[in-house]
Amino acid sequence: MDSLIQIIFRSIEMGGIYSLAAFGITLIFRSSNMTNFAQGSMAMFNAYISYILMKSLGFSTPLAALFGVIISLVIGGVNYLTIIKKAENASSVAKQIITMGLIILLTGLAPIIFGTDPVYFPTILPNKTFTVLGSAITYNGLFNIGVSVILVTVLFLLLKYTRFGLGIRMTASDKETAMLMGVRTDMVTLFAWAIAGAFGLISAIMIAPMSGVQPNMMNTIQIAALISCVLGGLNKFWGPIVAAYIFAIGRNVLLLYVSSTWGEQILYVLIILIINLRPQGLFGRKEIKKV
Amino acid sequence: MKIKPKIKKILSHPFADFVYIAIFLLLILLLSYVKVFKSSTLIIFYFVIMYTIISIGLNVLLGYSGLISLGTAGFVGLGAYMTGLLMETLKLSYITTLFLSMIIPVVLGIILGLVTLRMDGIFLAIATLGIAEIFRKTFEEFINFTGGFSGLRISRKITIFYAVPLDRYSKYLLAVFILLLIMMLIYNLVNSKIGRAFLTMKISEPAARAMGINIFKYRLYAFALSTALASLGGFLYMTFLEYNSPEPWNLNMSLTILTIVVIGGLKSLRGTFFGALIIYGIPELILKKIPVIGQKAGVAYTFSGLLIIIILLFYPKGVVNIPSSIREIIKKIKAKRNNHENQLDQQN
Repeated sequence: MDSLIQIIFRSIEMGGIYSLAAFGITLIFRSSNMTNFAQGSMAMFNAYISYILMKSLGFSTPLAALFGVIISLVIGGVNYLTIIKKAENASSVAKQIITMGLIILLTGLAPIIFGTDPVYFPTILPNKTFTVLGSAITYNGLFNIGVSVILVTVLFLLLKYTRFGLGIRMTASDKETAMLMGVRTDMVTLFAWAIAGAFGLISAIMIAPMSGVQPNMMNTIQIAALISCVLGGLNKFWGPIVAAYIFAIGRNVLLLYVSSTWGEQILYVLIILIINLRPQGLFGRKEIKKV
Repeated sequence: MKIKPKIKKILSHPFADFVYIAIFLLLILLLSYVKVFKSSTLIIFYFVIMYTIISIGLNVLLGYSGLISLGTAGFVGLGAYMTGLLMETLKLSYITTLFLSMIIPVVLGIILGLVTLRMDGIFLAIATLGIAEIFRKTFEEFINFTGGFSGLRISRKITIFYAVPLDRYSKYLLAVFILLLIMMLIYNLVNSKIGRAFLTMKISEPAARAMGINIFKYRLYAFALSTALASLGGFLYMTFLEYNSPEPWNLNMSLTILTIVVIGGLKSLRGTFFGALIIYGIPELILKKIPVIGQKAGVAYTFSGLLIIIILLFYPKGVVNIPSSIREIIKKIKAKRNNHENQLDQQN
């Protein structure tokens, strides 16, 4: 029987993982006005690459993770330049369907390139625990929480206080005006895709010790992140992040204290009802549709 | 003398394409009945028919009304489970099950539509994704009804009109006629007042509103229709395989259906059939027979993933418009040549 502290700890850890993925989706949504449904699949693919680095070059886990981040920055950018930018004139529905095509492509390519056996990915810190008020807590879990909070904070400071952040915020609020003001929106969007790719990979590395590296390892995270984005409202950067923690805590509480079979369904129904009442999301601003 | 225009009239009837497709599918049946084709070919084409019917439903939603749904697989699964339950536990007949297994998901779809269809764009996509997750979880966990991971089986012989037993061939025959009927019905529907309302709504919501179209009502119509066709697909799946488990009804299946619609061509019913033939048929019939790479797990997905990106980037009209595009190109070349000749004449 898990204690309350353990459940809260686990929820916050999962919330951190969801929030990283959700932040990537928000960043792309704000800068390119589209949803990247393939974020999870790209992260899965990059996680495979990090694993190959670890296996074939004998890297330690943190080093493999670091190289994985660099590679996923590059892959995120390349993906934007080769596919998404080419589709600039397509409707936003078409762009989203392209990212769904990417999901299918990557889930198909992964077993061809990397084989079908699920592989074990070790935790970054050794799997040791310490006790707080009688409940065991892993160092790695604490590390994951720390990393996700620090990353999100750093990104927020970047957004708030640097020229680059200003560029992103301008592009997010109005692309054409930003262009007229001399913001290089192309570069900003490229960076957004690269950073989103890296954030995706970090969330994949955090979940990998629990799920193994396999083609559908990111499915639950991707769905959770997308739902947090809608729940929190996509027109504020911090909305989806708070919603990700709410989602994780709500899910665990419902699964443990209400029903282990129906908990998740109840959560989804609740979220759909909330979105129905507040279509702009819990923390979002209402946007006025112009004709 | 008078017969020729008559034949021309029949051939240019909008239903002619659908009849060709049905004749083609019946030819497959005939050839596999006389054992020219293996029975696995028949199964593949049965699934092509099933996918076409489901995708026509999504095409009404995406192509005609501009609404994107990622929950199709959930409703197909629901239709399949409903069929299983009605036939196995309630011992209902084939025809009754056919109607009930569509009506129940449609009622549920309308209820869900009432809460989700106020959203649009990605919000609707993600909400329907949530609905599909609810269904998938329920299929896995609601063991008393669905059998959980061990699945649900129809153990009795499926008969029609209480006596005539159905084998693979007769089920295929029925499916072809259902497809033909659906294509004709949907064609008439999208060319009626409702279909025009769908299109107006897709192109411009404010304009549709200004013309007195109740957006929510028509969205609900489109959603109910696509749910009905999805659950019909589930019915066809269950009556053919007589077994159902939670695994197939995931996001990948919804994405496959979406791919079929996009690749075949939005707003085209025969295009949807070609889409299903390409996305489901080609990997099963051709790719899996290629040595070395054919046996690997993800070949079919890689193929359709690549195809959807390429088509959307370079030819968003869909496969169905390739002949007319080729005709246009030929016309242009001819026109150019004529122009050139005329110029030469003038110079002379």
